[in-house]
Amino acid sequence: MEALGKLGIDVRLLIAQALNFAILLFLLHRFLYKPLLAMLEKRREMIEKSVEEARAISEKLASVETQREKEFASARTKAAEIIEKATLHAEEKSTALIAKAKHEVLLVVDAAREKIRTEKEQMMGDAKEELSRLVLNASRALLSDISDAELTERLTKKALKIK
Amino acid sequence: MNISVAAEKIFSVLGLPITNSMLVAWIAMGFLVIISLVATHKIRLVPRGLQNFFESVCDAILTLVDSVMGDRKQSLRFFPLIATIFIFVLVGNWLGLLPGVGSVGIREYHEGREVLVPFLRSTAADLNFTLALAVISVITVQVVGILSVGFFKYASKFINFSSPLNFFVGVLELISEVAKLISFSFRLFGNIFAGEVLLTVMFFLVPYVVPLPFMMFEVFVGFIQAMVFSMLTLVFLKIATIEAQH
Repeated sequence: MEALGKLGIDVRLLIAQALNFAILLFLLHRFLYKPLLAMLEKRREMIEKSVEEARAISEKLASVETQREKEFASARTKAAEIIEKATLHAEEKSTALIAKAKHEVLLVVDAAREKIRTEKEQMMGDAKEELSRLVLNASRALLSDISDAELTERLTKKALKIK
Repeated sequence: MNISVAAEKIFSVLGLPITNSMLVAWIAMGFLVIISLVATHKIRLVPRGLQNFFESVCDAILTLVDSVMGDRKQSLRFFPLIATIFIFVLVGNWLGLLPGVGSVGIREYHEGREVLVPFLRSTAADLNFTLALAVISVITVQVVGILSVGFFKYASKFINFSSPLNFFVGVLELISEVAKLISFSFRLFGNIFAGEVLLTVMFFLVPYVVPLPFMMFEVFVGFIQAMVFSMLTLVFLKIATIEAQH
């Protein structure tokens, strides 16, 4: 006990110091640890929630992206189909139009030929008639001095045949 | 120059001697409570200033406790004790390094010699303080052990007649518990008291510049000793809970 006394150990002081510690523990627990730990926990929960939300948003974004890609691919396929159909239709239409145009051209050409031929025949007929008339007139003029009517008639007819 | 192992009595209240280390303990308590109140007065989700500082400290201690306990529930259970030991010892140690502590006091005559009785003295430079903390620590470990295993099973760790070897091991365990008290209290007291003596001698021999590195060293020692005390308590608590699991 004497040694303890020399070291300054006093049971009353020891209890007082233990009491000091207990009081400080209580006060710090009440005013420091409790509110701070609650805040740390609240912050941790918020961070976890935010991370979870961010993950969900990221997943949703990825899903939307996939969906968008799918729709793009589908749209591209549809567009290609439409273009192909349109091209085919245009080609068919073009072929038909060309054929129709060719046919019309042929009709026009035929009509023109027919007209030319008719006009040519008409002209030839007219020319023949005119020539006959000229020959007849010339023959009549040449043979006016010949009194033999029969001979005249015969020569005229011959001249007309020669024509 | 006067070096006293025991803390000096400054005055008495109802027969209880109030020592200079007790005064520093109260100053440390008051300081800690006031800054705690300031830090948590307007607690914010985005911390600032003192709240930020204390959050960092608490988070660091909690992470350390977690790393030893390995279980957040257990960590939160022991955190207040461990954190209070660390903070109280640390602040007490560092307050002891402030100018005026140990050097400002009254001159008294003891056994015909004039001695300086300082008004303030580092808390851990008083065995009453370190022993009180050691007692609290060891008792807490025993209580946790009993609560985890049960009284009789826990008692069988110290008193075991199943075999001579177990009986001997039990006696050794009992001695080790008492040794914990001594090692806890004397380690902290020895380090801090030795630091005070060292600084006193250094200031006495070369008052300027030279004591500075020693002061820095004492700041480090004060931190390390606070850490050692709290960590040892934590490890003993962990051992008590581990034994319960087996």
